[in-house]
Amino acid sequence: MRFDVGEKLSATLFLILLAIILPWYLNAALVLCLLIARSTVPSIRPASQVLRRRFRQLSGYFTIVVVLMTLVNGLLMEGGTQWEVPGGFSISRVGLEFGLRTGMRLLVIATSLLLFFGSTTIPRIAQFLQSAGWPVQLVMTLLLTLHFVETLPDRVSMIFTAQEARGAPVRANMFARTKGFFLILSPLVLSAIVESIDRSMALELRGFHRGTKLTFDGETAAPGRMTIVSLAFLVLSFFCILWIILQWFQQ
Amino acid sequence: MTKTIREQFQLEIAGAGLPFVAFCIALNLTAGQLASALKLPIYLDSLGTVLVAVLCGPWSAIMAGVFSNILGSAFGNPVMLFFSPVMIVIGAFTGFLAKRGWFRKWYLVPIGGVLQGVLAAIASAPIAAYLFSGVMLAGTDVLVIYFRSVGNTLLQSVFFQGLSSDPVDKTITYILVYLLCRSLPLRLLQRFRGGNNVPRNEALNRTYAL
Repeated sequence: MRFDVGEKLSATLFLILLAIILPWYLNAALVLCLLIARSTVPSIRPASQVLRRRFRQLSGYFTIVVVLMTLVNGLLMEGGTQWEVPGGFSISRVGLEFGLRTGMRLLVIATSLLLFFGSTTIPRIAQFLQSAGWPVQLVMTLLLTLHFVETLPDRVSMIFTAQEARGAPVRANMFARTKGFFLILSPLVLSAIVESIDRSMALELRGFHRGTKLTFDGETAAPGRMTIVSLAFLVLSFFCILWIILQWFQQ
Repeated sequence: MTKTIREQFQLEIAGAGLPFVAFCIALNLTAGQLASALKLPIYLDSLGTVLVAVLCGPWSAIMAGVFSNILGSAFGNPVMLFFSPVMIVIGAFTGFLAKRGWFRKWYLVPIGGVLQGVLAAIASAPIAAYLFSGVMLAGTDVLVIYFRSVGNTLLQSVFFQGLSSDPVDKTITYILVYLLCRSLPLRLLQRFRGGNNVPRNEALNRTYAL
């Protein structure tokens, strides 16, 4: 089974809304289903080894946080049946249920978003947005951001080392470190503005501001089309929103 | 003559504006890491948004904020996506203040930061409370649980948690942006639509005069 970006995006939206509606035990089942789907459906497998590792690390981190949050809620909140635990503490049923409900909801949302962003690279999303008729400036901003995200940590580390070498207070008390933060930020922004001017000239020379659409790898971007799968997920999402609104009115 | 949002946006990102907005989105995502590298207890996750709002304008700041949150959730914190409305508030409010000259007078900058912090806390509380029941997979979750355990409602607890951290964080962000803009020479400021929103540093301009 192959899904395109639009179908995956609408499925993610549906899963997020579903997580808000379902009780915690169904959300837990949904997380398991998503994890099984990750290894069986080729379209939602992580796009690279790095993304696979990141998915594993993040899902592990979120699971630990959810377990901790459930326990802390159980320990601090009061109400319902109280269970005694070693050390003189007691865990409340209401707190535990609240923690489980919130935690499982978060886990579904986190897993579905991680699956989407793990299996779809940002350039692919940009390509999809362009074919869906988004303004070329927005798509270009997204792609330029990726360049800056990649190069910024190296630049920061270079400026950090240079400022430390000339005696900037990067390891002193908190006030001095705040000053050190500014000493790193200032050259970073200045160099970014100079680079922005260079890049804007390059874009201008390519006729960017005439509003002509860019293409990827020499291919002409095909106009976006709505598939039946996307439509089905969007309709289901609409019903989920209606359900949530109805629930709010009933409360 | 009034301009449409699209026209205003295109004016804001004309020239060096567009690559600078892209840099500021990346800055939003990495400023927090830089702060933690210096062991500073601040987020600074809206530093880029505020910088764009002052130097370019509100519409590009809104775009920078929303894109930061989308990319932030793609790079590891899925919860960030749902806080895009907060970034919209930050971008729009800072752009509004910058247009009215609040970044030209030093004494108005911290006041603007505190106001922004309170607004951010008000905007984020309903999202955090109703969508995530106060749990945002961060260290501040402990504060929410504490406020709940002393008898506040969920919405109140989340709001108090926001109020205890956001005004300080936003004030520091505002002061940093003011100092950054003040240290820019006029010939660079003139490249941006909001170049007139910040004070002129005459000594610096004489040094960098063409």
